[in-house]
Amino acid sequence: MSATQEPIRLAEIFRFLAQTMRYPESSWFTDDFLSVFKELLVQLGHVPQKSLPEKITDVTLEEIQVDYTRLFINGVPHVVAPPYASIYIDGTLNSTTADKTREYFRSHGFDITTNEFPDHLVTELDFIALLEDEKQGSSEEFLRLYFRPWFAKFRDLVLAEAEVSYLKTAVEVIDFFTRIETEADSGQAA
Amino acid sequence: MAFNLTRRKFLQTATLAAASVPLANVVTARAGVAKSPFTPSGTMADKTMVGGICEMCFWRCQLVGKVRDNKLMKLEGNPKSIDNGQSICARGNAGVQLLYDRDRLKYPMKNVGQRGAPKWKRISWDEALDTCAKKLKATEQKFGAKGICMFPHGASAKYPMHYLEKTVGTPNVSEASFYQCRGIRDTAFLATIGTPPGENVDMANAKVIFGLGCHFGENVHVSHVKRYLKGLENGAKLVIVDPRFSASAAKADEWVAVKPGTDTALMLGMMNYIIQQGKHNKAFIDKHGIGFAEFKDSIAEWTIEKTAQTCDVPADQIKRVADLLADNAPHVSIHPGRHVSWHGNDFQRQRSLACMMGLLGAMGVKGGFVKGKGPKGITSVTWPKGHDHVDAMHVEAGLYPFSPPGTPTDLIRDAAITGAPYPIKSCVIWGQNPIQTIPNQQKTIDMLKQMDFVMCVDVMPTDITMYADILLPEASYLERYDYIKKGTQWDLSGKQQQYISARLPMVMADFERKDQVYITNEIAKRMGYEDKIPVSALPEMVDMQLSGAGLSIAKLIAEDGIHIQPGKDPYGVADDLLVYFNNEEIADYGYPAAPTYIAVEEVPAGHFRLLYGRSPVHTFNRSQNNVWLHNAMPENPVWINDEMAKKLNLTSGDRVHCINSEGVKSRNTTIVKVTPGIRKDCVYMAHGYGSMNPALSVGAGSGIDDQALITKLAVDPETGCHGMRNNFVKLVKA
Repeated sequence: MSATQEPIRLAEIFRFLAQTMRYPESSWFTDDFLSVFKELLVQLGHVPQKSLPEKITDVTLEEIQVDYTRLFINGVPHVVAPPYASIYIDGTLNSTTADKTREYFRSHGFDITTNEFPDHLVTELDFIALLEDEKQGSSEEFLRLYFRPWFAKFRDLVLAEAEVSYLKTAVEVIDFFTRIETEADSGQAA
Repeated sequence: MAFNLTRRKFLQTATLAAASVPLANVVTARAGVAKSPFTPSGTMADKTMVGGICEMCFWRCQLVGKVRDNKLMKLEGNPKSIDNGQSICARGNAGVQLLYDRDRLKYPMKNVGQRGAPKWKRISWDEALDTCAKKLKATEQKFGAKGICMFPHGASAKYPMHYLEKTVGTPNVSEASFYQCRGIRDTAFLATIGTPPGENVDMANAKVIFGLGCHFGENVHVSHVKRYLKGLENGAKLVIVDPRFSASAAKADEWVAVKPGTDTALMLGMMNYIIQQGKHNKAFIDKHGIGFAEFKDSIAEWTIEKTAQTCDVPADQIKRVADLLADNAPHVSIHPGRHVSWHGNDFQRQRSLACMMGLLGAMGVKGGFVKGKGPKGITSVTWPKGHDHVDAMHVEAGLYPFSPPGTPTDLIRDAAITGAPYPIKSCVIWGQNPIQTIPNQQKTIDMLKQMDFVMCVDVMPTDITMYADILLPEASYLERYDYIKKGTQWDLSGKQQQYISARLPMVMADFERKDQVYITNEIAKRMGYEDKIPVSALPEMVDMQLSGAGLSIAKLIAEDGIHIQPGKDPYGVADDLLVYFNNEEIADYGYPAAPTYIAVEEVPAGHFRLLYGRSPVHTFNRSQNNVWLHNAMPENPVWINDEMAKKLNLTSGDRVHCINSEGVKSRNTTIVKVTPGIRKDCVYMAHGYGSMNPALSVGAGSGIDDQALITKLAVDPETGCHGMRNNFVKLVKA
């Protein structure tokens, strides 16, 4: 089966990135998912074999699940990198930062639909995708004011502590797509 | 990994043509954000949620919650409450922090590592419930229901406990609230005055309040403390018997610094003195007393001199206190205590307190032992009895005839470890942390390690959750329906009123936390007990319970969370009240018929008896990770007498380890508090610190875990409850 030749839309990328950071389950963490992720890395000029498993087996899935749980849910001795902005900005869960984040969603005509907190990494990526759906480039304010101030700290923790390369890779790709690019950056690299 | 291009460049050139499927096809999850009507900033108003019932401790004050956007902002006492009123304590306030504790359990988890050295993997509820049911069923089929044991605690544990106890049929259930706390009090009073006493003394209207080891103010139960303070405000004299100058001792007219373990002797000496002085309430005893003559003879040996020598208390003070009690009788509150599992001779001490009530006639009168007349009609909802039932081990063996409900803890641990009289291979732990509640932690760990299956249900990680195979996240007391709280106005002499309230959620549960009815029912279905399920959901259970009183959840909400109705005068003594000063039934079982002092082991040279108690800002070990409370009291200083500290070259603020007489060293250190306000033969610390679970960001390793030092076991012979103050420690500079 051949994939589309259409250029990739940024909104789709963010939706995909949100998916990469959900709890990996066999229902979606499949070889097809891996194939898309690998191709994305290729397009980014990276050799995916170094970063992603060759195939999804029960063993690889469980390894990633255990590392995901340790990093983001309940770890020994501690959760390594709680995926919530509040933790990095305020030091506690579901605090003022979470309130402000939700307020931002609402002020743009959106709201959360699950019982996850608004400042969870996946929720924020979902929101960014929706903004980009409406108008390309419209997520920049959110990225600058809400996402990047905490994500960089989160990224460093994951890169330092993750045991499976899949999660490190996902975080690095998110970092690439959420980084604030200046005109100078764009000009140079182009 | 560095990406050597810009986002703009990537979007201009990239395609995913080589991927096996289009990008959009692999994004399967529903987005966590969606289009919604525009909401201007600042439009989410606070909403007051009624019907909260606190469970930061088990006094269960009535609350309202200030909620904004399904987020709990603040808790307050329910203004309609005639129990705690608008007051809640520091712990009650800090419930907000429990709700949003970053370390709270969020999803079901499976331990893919070792018990004690867990490696967690998030799993689905279906997988978790399937595993629990399969493992419990396997144990039931191989060893019978008795092969399953349970350690429950708190309101949410009652429903699953009744499922396992009644329907599945295991007798091996041991509640810390009985076997490591108040069970002895309840059965001793039952054997003496025919009823468990609760803490039902009318302190607000007393002329004298007498507390044996009670440290009100450090042990904060709001309406109880209101009674106590109202009594003091009204001029009540206060007698506190305690080796330590506690918060209550600091307010006392008499601080009796009794030698630990000799409290029963003190009671017997005072009662003998009162009788010798002819100051006992003869009319009351004639009408209600059983076996008074035998009792009188039995305690005659306890002269003031012998008592003074045994208890290391000045003879004059014993007389003064006894006179104070007798001269103000019957308006005297002899407090029955709450946590009473001290020395393994506790049934006798609790009997002596009940006898003192009878001796003074301090029952049914203002200031005395008085139970409020609460509302009737709450419907009982519980699991039906199944087929597989055996007697508990202590009943089979003819042990502990005055045990509280359930099975004495050590019988369960011993059976599990030795396989005798039968194997116990599955363990359900629900809201309890047996490692910090039951003495001899290694024995608890040994018990868990030999299990085929261990499951824990809790709101937070604790020491015991490290030993779970499956760990389930529970909705907290702020996120669920359940407990029916009923009673009367806190001041028994006030306008007579009754109240009924039920716990209603302040906010919805976040993440994948579930309540006890969901979890239990799903396990029951999978174990083949679906036809026995009594209710399908928690709100249904609460409505059924309330229906007997003509109430419902909707009606309670309409009444601001609390239904209030006219009450009844609680004072007066029932004609059929009997006080068993001498109880031949107890003698028939081979124990003393009249309260008897049984000496405890002396403190070995170079050691101190380890005493523990409550902190006003913590509850057992449940609140140690709460950042607000932790900030108020981050560790538990060890109190030591100033003269002894000088000999040991210790000064306040020094950091120490404790090492007990069996060589067990505390995992952590704490600071020393040097004070003349404690006897020379003991040291004291607040209980519930120093968890070994590193998953507690602030609680782990903060302060010393007193339970880790309580390795020498004492078991009360009449009840099977633990005595936990027979361990001795040295302080060693860290």
